[in-house]
Amino acid sequence: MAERRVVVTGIGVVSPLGLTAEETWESACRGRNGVAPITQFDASTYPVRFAAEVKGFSVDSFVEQRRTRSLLCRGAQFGLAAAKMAWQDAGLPADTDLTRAGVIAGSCLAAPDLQESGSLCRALTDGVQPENMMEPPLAFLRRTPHAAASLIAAELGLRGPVVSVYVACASATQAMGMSLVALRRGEVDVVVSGGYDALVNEWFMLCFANINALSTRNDDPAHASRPFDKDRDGFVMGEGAGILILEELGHARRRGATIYAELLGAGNSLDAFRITDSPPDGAGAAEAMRRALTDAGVRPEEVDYINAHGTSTRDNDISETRAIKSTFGAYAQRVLISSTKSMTGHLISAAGGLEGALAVMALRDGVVPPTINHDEPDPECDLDYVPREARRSRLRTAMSNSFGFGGSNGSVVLRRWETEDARVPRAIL
Amino acid sequence: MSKRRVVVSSLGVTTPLGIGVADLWSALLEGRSAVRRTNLVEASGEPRHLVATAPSFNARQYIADRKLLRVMQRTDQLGLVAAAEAVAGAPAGDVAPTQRGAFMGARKDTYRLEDFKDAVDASREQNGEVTARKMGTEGYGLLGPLTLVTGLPNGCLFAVSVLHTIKGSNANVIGTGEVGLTAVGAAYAAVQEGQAEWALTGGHDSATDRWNYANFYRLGLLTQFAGDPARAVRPFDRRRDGFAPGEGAGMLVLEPLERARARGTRILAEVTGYAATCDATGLVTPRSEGTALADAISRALAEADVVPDEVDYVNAYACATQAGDRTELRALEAVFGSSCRRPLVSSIKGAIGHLIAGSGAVEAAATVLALTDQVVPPTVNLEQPDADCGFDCVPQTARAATIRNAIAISRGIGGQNAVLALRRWED
Repeated sequence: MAERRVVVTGIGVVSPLGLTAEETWESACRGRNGVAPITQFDASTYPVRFAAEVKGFSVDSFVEQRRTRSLLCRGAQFGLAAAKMAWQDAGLPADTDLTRAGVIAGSCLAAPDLQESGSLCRALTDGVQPENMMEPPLAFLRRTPHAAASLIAAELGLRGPVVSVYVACASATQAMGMSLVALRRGEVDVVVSGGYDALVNEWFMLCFANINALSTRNDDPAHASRPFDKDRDGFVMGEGAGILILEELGHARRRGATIYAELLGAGNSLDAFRITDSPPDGAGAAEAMRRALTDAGVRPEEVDYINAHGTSTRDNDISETRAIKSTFGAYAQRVLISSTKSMTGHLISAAGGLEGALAVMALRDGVVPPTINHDEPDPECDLDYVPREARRSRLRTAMSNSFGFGGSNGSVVLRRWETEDARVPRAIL
Repeated sequence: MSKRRVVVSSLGVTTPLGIGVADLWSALLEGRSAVRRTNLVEASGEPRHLVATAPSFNARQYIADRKLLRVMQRTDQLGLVAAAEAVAGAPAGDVAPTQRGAFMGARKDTYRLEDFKDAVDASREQNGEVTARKMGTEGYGLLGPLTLVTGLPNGCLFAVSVLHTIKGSNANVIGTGEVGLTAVGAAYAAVQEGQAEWALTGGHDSATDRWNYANFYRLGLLTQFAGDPARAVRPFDRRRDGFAPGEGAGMLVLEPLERARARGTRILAEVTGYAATCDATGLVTPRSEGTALADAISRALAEADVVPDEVDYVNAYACATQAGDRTELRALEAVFGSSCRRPLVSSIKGAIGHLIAGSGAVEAAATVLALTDQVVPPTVNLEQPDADCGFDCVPQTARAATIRNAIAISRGIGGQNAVLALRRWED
């Protein structure tokens, strides 16, 4: 039996840089910054008062039923909107066998808002019996993060496997790896993959500040996310969704799909180190990259562009640089690397989905989006991070990296699609 | 190229019927039930909530790393203790750390109200309203620094990687009743595809607190049985009215057949297939005809290269809700209805309650034990089946039987269906 190959046939994005994939891509290529003071709640007394928020988004046009809308937390709203846009972009015909289509995506987290927290804590103090809680029956489902994948499946009518992956910041990238396995093994023909998340809220902004993970550059948010730069001081919280429609090549060809790129390989690993830190030598990250290359059957020198995890924390950027050096050897000096988190902030569970989508569009158009705010390199980060301005380059193969709390790492390798059924490149620069 | 064969070489469990496989299995075969009545709010209050809690255990007895245990919720600890048993039975030994995999199913409360309560109460304005402005000044300092890491849904995956030096392929799947089996399915695929030479896999959960009880209660899924608590959860019985939330974990070690053979280890069973589908009807509304589940069963059997006639035992999901059990029986009818020999069907949820994210792996473990010991654990509390139930659901008493092929079924609140096919190991 011939090996089943997997291609990207649709993309949907909701991000701090735009409400569609193309808008986001164009903004990224122009080096626009998506970081600003928080508007979703009064953060005036918070240790961190800025984030990369999605602006002007409403889920209403994506969901007809009020009941469904009421079940969607903000992360799920992004996920559903991006999934619907991606599905439409893929142009899957009405006669697609939906029993062979599934959702395998990086899941958001969710928490009760302050109002709900207040009444739940009061119930706790008052010793209210669980069967007497006054919440409406479905309220808690909105706080159930894995509900999102089921609702996406229901909205699109998908009856294959529905899987919510959670390995923190590596969730979406690992979900793409799991999707690749399921597609290759013939369990499915189409997968809605990627991820969605929305942690710019009262709880998570406090929790992440509490572990000193976030940049505290409150006086200059636009320059706060500065991956690989000497003056970086933490990551900037982002939110949104990046969804890719992954499809078995034969299935895509038979229906006459236009193709963005091939998902050539995926690799993952565990650091087995500390819960919130990577080992300084980046061994786990390097293992994920090596596995992805091996799985893709690609030599390190063939990789033209790496969309780095590049969180802008002190430790990640150094250990990722070391990991790239140990994986790519002398070639590490020549490969183009950028962190789009400099513009989008860190979308946590969704990061790998958005960044995978950006890598796919980079391949399509032959443009590497920049690492903005990269003004003065950290001496320990001495590779070509495509600072400040996008760069035109012949790109054939790209890698996207994600490394998560809990020590899970993921990498994927993508290749430009070059035959006549390829997506038409956009003259972006 | 033929695919690698995958075998189960060890099991570990923490369940309401005991810590450890031996305790669980003997209690299941005796037909005991761990469901009891307690008050989840006041220790001294009138017992009113039917739950199945795990016996008290000291995680430190199994796991020396105290610092690590500090950032683990109870659900993670239940998982770690089960993992310790599974790993002890089939250590990774000389398998390189990067060739060891871990695949977990979880359903954790990232936001545990008890951890946030002090911060919330300190952030109330005079009118009682909780505001962000006050949260930033008064609440912030009261939020423990470990709150976020303790709530990480992949905490158990992280901890097993540290405790058992697992540095290779991995996954953490979140959801409800299906995810324990989803994780086992992912581990099976990884071992079969050569991504791991040894894999620890399973699921864990702790759903016996007031919040979980409240949530499942509001969905109308919990039994309110008035009599003897041991008789409350009644899979496939006409008088079934829901499940009792439980807690616990199941873990399995999967290996490629060649390695298990080379080591001369005892092989417990072979994993022959896995498939998953979704009802695609949204939340808490199983498709009444059970077609998606039937589809998953058929796909798993096809992968196992087994025809319905050859299936001897079905470990059913049967969470004892009216709709859930009915749709499951319809799915079984659709797959096995025309067989000349129908499989025995049983559910262990009457005995241990519903371990939610832990249930799939514990039930997979019970299915493996049924294969090794050639005995079907009974469906406790099954007194009167539905009129149209066409299966022998092994009521009340364990039954010796010749079991060569078996399947385990798990389902989730979002319409997920997962099916694992297993075969008796005969050397």
